[in-house]
Amino acid sequence: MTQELSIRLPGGIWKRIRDLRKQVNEMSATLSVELREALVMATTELVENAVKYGENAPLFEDIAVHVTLEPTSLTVEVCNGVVERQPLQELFERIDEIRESVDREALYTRRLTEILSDPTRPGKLGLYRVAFEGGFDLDCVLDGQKLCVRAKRELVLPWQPFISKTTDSPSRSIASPARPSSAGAA
Amino acid sequence: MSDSRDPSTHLSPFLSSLIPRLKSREVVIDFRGFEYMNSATVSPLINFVKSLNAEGIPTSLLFDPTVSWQKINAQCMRAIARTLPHVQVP
Repeated sequence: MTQELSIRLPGGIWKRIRDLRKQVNEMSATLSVELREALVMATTELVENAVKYGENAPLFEDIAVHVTLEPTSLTVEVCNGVVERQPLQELFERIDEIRESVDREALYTRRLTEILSDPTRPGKLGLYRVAFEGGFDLDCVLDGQKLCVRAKRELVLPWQPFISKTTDSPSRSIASPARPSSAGAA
Repeated sequence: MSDSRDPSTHLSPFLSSLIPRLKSREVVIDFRGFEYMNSATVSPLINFVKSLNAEGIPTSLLFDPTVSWQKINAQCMRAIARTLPHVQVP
């Protein structure tokens, strides 16, 4: 008797992230290069974190990405499933540390120094980079099995399209599930 | 490669394998052509630079100051390179 099992597992997540980076880049084409690069970097880092540390919770299997450009702010929100709460402690502590810090450059440099002194430690630079290099404020909300990390950068001056022309939609946004939601079985 | 799941699994062995061949040479690591580098790539690169320094190999790290993320990273690398006498970030 022959038994066979063929399962298609969702793949290509890193290509999806590359595509997402391209989409965010195109969406923010009217921003300054510096803001666009910051937005693309923040989106990528948060999504990579969700891929590495997120879990397929029964009620929240996908990674959801929401990027919003408003006249005076840029926001990236990435949500993923969570099964256990214990591993989130480090994330909460890191976000608190960044929020309370008055010198984000020092935080980032200190982290680099820690990597230098102990090569075996995992990098875990992403959130510091979003905060320092990208200039974003970070926040996170845990709602049952759904964890959302939000990065928001307030703009000192509204970006050009909103002060030069009137538009019916005051903001632009894209939303994308970055993780394929189903695996086919045959 | 910078956006692979864990760049260190590819990068670290490759970079380590270069070190014996780089002894008695000067090394320039030129980031200026990089469009993007994720944070997971930073760790193996720092460790490579640290290994070069430990071997006494003169090393320069080049960043493009007109690109925001490169300018910021140059600043930070300059700060940590103070403890690495054979490494300079012009």
